[in-house]
Amino acid sequence: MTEEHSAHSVHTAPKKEPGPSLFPEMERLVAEVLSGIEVTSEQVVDEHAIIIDRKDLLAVCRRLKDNQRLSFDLLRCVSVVDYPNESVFQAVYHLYSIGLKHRMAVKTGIPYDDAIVDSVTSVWAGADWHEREAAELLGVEFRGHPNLRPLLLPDDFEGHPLRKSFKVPELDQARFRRGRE
Amino acid sequence: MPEWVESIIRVAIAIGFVLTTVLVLIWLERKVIGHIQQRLGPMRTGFHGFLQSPADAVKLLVKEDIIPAAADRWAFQLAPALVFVPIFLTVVSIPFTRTLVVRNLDLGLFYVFAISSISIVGIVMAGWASGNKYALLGSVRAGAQMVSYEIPLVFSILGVAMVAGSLNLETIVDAQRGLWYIVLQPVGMFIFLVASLAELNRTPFDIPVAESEVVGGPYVEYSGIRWGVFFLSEYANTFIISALAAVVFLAGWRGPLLPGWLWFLIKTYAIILIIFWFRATLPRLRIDQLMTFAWKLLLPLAFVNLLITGLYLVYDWPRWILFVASVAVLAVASRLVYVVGRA
Amino acid sequence: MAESRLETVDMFINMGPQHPSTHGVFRMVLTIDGEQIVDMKPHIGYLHRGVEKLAEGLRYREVTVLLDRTDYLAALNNELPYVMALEKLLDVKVPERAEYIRVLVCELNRIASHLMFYGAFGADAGATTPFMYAFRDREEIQHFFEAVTGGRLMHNYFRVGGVRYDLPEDWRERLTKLIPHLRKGIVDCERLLSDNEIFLNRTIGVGQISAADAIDYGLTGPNLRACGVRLDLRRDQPYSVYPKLEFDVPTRSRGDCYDRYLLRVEEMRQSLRIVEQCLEQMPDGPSLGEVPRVIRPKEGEVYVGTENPRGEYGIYLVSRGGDYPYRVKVRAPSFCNLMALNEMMRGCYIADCVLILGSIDIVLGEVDR
Repeated sequence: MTEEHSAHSVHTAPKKEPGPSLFPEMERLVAEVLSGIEVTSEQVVDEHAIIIDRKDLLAVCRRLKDNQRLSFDLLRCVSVVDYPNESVFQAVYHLYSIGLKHRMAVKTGIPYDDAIVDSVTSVWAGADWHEREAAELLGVEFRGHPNLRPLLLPDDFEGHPLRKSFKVPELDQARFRRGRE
Repeated sequence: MPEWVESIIRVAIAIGFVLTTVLVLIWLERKVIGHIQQRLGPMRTGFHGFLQSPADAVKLLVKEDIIPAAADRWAFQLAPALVFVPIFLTVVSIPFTRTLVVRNLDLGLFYVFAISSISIVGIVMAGWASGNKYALLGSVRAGAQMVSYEIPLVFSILGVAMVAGSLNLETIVDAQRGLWYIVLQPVGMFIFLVASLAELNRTPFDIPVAESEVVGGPYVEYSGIRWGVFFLSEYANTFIISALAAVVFLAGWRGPLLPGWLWFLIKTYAIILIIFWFRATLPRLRIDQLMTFAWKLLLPLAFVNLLITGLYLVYDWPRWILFVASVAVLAVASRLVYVVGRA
Repeated sequence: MAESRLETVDMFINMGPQHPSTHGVFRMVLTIDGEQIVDMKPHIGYLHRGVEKLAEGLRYREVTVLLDRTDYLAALNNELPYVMALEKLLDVKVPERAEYIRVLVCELNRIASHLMFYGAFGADAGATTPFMYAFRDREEIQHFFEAVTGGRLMHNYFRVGGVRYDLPEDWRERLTKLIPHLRKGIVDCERLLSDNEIFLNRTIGVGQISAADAIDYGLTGPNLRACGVRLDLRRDQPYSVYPKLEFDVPTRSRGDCYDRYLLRVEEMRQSLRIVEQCLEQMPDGPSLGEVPRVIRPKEGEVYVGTENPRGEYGIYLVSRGGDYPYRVKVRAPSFCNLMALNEMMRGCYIADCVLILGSIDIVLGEVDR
């Protein structure tokens, strides 16, 4: 991540539901813990979601995990979504606190032309394979990951199949047959 | 009839008997385990699948003989014979009845153990020659296990030899007139059965061939009739060990009313059924636990047994003292199993 | 004498993808020193079918077909989070009867899956009979499923707003026969293994993992609860009609193979309790709610995690309008649980590694997706 890119500030996928969070209490708590870091809330069903800049990712994750009142000790899932129209990937981290039984999502944008984001394996070891999978299927690089070898695909596979630009002929034919697109 | 003709006929009958027995045993095991597991086992070929084993044998005979490219050709081909021949040779000295025996030897007991331990070589050879790591692993396990268990096995039977004062199997059976050695040597019988299970590579000591770990161990690369020979040897060995136990501890052909050979078969098959029953019930030990069991429990136990038997002979105790002492030793040992096993 | 000194060399052994106890097509490259394992490298992906990519090319209703094929031993449990996610996006109400039916079949599926684990674990330990016992009982559940869903393994039964078919007319009789059968089956299973001295020696203290490590690696489900962490989404993030049902969340403390085994046996009992309550409380009414003919959720996203037999099965569903899901991310419990394998296998024997892998209870269809 070079200086000029981080100058773009927050790279975001389109916000789906603009508006205040549905979980004001959680929002207040998270804002308190993450004071000093630029955080936007997103309105998502079921849980509080925040959008942060990727340069803050590690710091945010550490604080969310270590803070006593949040203690997000379980990383449920790491998903990366491709938004070609905006030329951005969005990494989504779903967190859960076993002790406090609450949940939230952390999102960060990763621009196409500099598809690097910090690995959170140092915070949750369980991010390991999730990130390897995302690196392989979407072509995002996770900096600081101990072992970013391909995980699922054959060694000689080319391309990143979960990108929208990756076309699967069979799927397109299926859509065509239905005459929908 | 000259003696050599008679010998040949006796050997031929013995071979025929062993081969048929193996077929019956395979069928029996599949049926017994099947019923224990709430299924029927083979049902389609002949009456209750009785022809299943012959059919399998024919299938194995006509299958292609595959020798892997990485194999050591000669050793690979020789190994099945090296396993089978010693096992078959032991049949020679096992008395079915006083007359139904190929050749009664004065050192019969010694002969059986001496010859049957040769088959370890064949198994290790098979594993080594296969050029497969699983086979190698399995054969190394087999070597370690069979050599370790040979020792308690021999010591367990030594007590019987002391009491009977002979290594001649016929004399041993005769000495059991009135009282079977299972009463005088329960410890010996226990050690013998456990150690022979390990010797046979059968559950719970099927570590060398463990399907879920080394996928068949030394035999993993064998197919067709070569594999069939290993299979045959395994069951022949099961029969011989059971027959030996029947002779040494259960007075062989002795018994009221029924003819001697029938008594012998009944006793032998009773032990075989116990072995099958174990197979259907128990999980498998781990290799280090297996070693611990042999060296820390079975061997000392065999020594204690020898000691008691020796005292019994030297001081000319009444028989019941030997029985009570042996049962006490067994009781202590059965507690020690937990201590040693958990350690 | 220095020249004649023997040196030992570590051996590499490739376990899988074709190996009877890798539970599918998992591959471990083991470095072994004699019988002991020095290092283990897992390789997955032999069953990767690109479920997440394929889902982007199917219409919303059709995606459940794919999810059936991830964790094929608990297909109904996988369909649940997806339909729940979709219902949240669409804001569809599910009739209560449908919710009960879902819970009923999910719990039965959990028992079936745990029975499968029990059998396979016994086979890994070298005992042949547990497998047959487990399959006898599992078969009865399958018969019930056949009557309810029409399928044995790939049910494709849950729909947005309910379930595909209502229960068959004779379901009460079937279930009242099934429950005692299963109860007895579980007792049989326990008698065969749980107190067997060899089995205890093989499993106690083997493949231990601490609670802290387990959480760090993202373990969920029975594997986590065996370490003493009481996390069960059915209770902690209540969904469907679970809040109305009474059940315990068993935990164990040591986190070894034996605890993981025993915990699953106990879970079968709890599931059976839930099934019984469903039988009692099953309300009348429709089994499928009011659902728009064309499913076209508005823009939005949702993450739903449910308690699958193997842990948290999560679906992250992103919609940007249209007939096709924009992104379906599957959080497969086996995938996450498998990450901890290395931690559990430190310094164990070859025989143990088979058991440890078995005790995690992975389904490769879900690991590779």
